[in-house]
Amino acid sequence: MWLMTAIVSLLTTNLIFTRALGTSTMMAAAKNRSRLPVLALVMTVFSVFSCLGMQLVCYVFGLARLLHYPFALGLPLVYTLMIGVIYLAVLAFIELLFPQKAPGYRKYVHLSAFNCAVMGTLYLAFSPDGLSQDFAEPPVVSLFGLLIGAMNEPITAVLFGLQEGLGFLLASLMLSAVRERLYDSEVPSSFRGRPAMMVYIGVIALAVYAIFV
Amino acid sequence: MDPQKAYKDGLFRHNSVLSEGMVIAPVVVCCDTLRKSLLLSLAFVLITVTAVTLGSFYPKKLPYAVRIILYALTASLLYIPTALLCEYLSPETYAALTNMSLPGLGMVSGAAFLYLPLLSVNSFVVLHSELHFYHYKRGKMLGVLLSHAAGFSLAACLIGCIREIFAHGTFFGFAVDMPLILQGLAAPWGGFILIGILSALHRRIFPKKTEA
Repeated sequence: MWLMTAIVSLLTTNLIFTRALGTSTMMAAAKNRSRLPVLALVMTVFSVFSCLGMQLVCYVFGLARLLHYPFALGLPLVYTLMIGVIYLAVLAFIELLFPQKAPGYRKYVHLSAFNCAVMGTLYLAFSPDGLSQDFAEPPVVSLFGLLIGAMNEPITAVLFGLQEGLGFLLASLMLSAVRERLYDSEVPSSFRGRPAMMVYIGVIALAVYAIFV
Repeated sequence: MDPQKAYKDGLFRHNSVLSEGMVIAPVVVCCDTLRKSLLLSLAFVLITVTAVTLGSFYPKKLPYAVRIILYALTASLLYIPTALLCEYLSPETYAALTNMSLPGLGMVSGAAFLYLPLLSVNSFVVLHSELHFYHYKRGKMLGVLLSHAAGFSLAACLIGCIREIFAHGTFFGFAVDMPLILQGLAAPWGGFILIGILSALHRRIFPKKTEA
């Protein structure tokens, strides 16, 4: 039952199927199944650490006013700085620990750092004040909803980032599973490849929306 | 490459949305009316063209990662006046840009607040500036960049028009006598399917080699 709830919540809160965030990155990632787990892992690292970093900035250092208007206009600047610091830290970490494999890993880091999925996760985790918060709570319990209720805020941020990273992995796996068929010669040449992928993502998104009908 | 051809390619053949699948998220979520598409396009053009042009002046001696961070920071800084300008030009449309349909909740006001700021990390700025635009001399780069930005705007407005007519039964806010309203087309899944169909149509008009 927990597994079912987890899968349903990963789908219903999925950044790609419900918000179209990270679609281009996912389409690029799905081209190669072997590199998919690495990319999803790197994106999860970015989501988790950027959420944790913003949690520290907002509440530990008392900068929660950043979420208020007019400071909220500067949020992209703050989030970019946050991701930029993590980007450099991850690159340095890879160079230090895996000097031989670093050039190969670097492209995953470049692809994962500045994209809508990671930045979008930060926006959803720390939305500016004054907005309707109805959308913050998904209609079903979030993947770590029960845990989140019992833990303190930094852990909440980490779990939120983890949830979005796992959601990206799930969506990428769903796409890579059918990728070969979408490029099959039986698909009309106009639709073959990217157009068919877009329609496929749309149909999955429609199914996710239909869960609540 | 012939400049005229490069400009035309940016606008049509290599259209960022319909051919390359770039900057999909704001189009899928926000472009469900022509007004919203126009405002999003304006924000995109202002942020992207200015950020990529300014980025071309940054020293190439800096490491790649640092340059990318600087491009993103520049675009994030440009977002502030752009957002204020968009709000000043059309407060209603600016507010409407934050509405989106969510599973189980229907159309939710404020849920799409993140798409305008996310333009500051769009792939033109953080990826294609280095991969593509900075290979040209500055004058030609600006022309190619503008043609790609115009291509994005064209695709966004086309998608906005179609979705507005079929999903809302209006055109630029004026009622259109439609026998059937497909409200779902305004939801993100409708956007994905429509972009898929328009991409296929685009490929039919501008055929290219099958992707690997």
